Amino acid sequence: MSKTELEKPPLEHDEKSEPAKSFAMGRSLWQSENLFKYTMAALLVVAVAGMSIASPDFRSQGNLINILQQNAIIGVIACGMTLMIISGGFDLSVGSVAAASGVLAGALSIHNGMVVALAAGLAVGLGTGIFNGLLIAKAKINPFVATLGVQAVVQGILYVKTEAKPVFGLPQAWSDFGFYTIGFVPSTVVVFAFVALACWALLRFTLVGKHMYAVGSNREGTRRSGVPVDRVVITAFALGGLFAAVGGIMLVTQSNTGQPSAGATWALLAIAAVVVGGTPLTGGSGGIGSTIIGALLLGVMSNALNIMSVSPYWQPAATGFLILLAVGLERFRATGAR
Amino acid sequence: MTIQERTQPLLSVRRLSRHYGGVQALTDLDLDLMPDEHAAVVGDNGAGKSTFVRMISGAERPDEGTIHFDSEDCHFKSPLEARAVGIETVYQDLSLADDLDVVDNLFLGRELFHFKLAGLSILNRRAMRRRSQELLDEVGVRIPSLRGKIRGMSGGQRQGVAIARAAGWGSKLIILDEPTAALGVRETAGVETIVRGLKKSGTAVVMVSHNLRQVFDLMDTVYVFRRGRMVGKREIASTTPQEIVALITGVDDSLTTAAL
Repeated sequence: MSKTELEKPPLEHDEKSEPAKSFAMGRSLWQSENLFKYTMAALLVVAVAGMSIASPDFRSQGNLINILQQNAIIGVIACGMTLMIISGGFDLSVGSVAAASGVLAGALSIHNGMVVALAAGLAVGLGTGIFNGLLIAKAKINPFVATLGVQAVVQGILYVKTEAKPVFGLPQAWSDFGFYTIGFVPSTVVVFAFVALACWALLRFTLVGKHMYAVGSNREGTRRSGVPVDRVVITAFALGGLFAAVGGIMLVTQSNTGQPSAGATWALLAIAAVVVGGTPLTGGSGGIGSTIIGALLLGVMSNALNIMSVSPYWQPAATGFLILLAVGLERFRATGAR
Repeated sequence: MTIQERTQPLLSVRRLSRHYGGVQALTDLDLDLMPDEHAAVVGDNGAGKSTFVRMISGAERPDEGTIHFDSEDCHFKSPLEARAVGIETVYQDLSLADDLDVVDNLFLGRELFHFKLAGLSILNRRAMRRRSQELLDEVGVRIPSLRGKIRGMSGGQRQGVAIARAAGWGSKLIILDEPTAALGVRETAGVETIVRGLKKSGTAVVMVSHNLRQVFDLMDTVYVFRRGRMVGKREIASTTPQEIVALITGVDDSLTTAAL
């Protein structure tokens, strides 16, 4: 067989039949991917609209602001969690890290001033985050085990140092910030919006943001492509820890106390917000927009149950239901797309 | 088709050896590859093909022997070092990030920026998209949408993106590890067209393949490995599949012909 004889037919094959077939494939994928995103957004719109029609209490400006304010802290932590999950990990230590940051910042603010207090609080978050990242990227410890361990260690140290007692007598500056509003928007909501915007821009425009998706999608392949994978993972966990600290400090502005037992459920709530929004736990896709939708959906549901005087004991079950619904839809999308 | 013997070899390896524990995977390999030569590496499982490929792609280091590439001595500690001198490897699993689109994959690890500031460098997506289209056209890969995620693509398209990524950076040698092993007939034809395109652009290729039809259609030379040694080099123009099979199996020529 000579080479020239074989050269023509494959070329024609390629030109005519391949693109048409795969174009259709690409489009249906596009549709199904957005379908999921919009399902959760639509659910949020329907929930808010439905509750607004049904309940005057719900639709009052005060209550709507209240929903935003109550979910701002989890929202901030969930933003950090999104970065970690997209990179293929997650962090169970955010709750105790938030509590430690808040307590330390609170305690230091009594004698050392706000600047030192805030810097120390944020440093605790950033430091633990980097430590988590090192355990996972360098020591190759599974994120579940690594962050579970760090969570227990941080909580243990925190309880020993505080004897599990809240820190009282904080300067008035904390609540001054916590109850400050810009127009009718509470300061904590502004912080949430700022953090969300920063994370969105990071994922959308920057090199490390793109690499977070790449690492979560195919870690070994991304490493072979010359990306400093370890550094990307450590960055994601460092930011996750930092935003956990921001969340812990936000809580201090709400209660004016440093509460060591705070944040016990935050890690799971943050993961729930990310997952309900539609970011898969397997990493590689998703985004901040989805996380905001997830956090608000959980917040609206919780608020609606309160207004309808449903026993608060039903709350976790309802959250669980939303998680299962989201994961079910995600499975449906993933298998349907193939 | 004969190779220009008077030019300097692009790649020469001498006395290359590697063992894993007690198993001698490769023994005293001597091999010269000319610039723009398209060489097939064939042999049974365990013949040492993969070991050879892993050493010139920087994935493994030889126990003994030297690798000389593009007039320089090379001691690769990682695939990145091999890539830095112009050796690109397309792995069987392709190393693509399924959740990223074509542009993001083509530029993975080599992004273009609006301005640089470590991890906070701002990506210049427009420039990358424009360059991607050129890159795919040069290599002859047709992808319906640059914004489509890799996950939604066919095996042939994925392979095309992976080869375009390897070819697009002034690389001098591309190593293809069984590029069509998982593909259907039509997709295989598409990938073979791409490999022929590399010949026109003058890029050297080392292709590991079990498909002799493909080897005879596409390659200039064939290096046959058996039990960790190179047992023969043949010009495709002056050999037959029967001879190659005989070399691979180590069985006498006439017997193999009878078996076929």
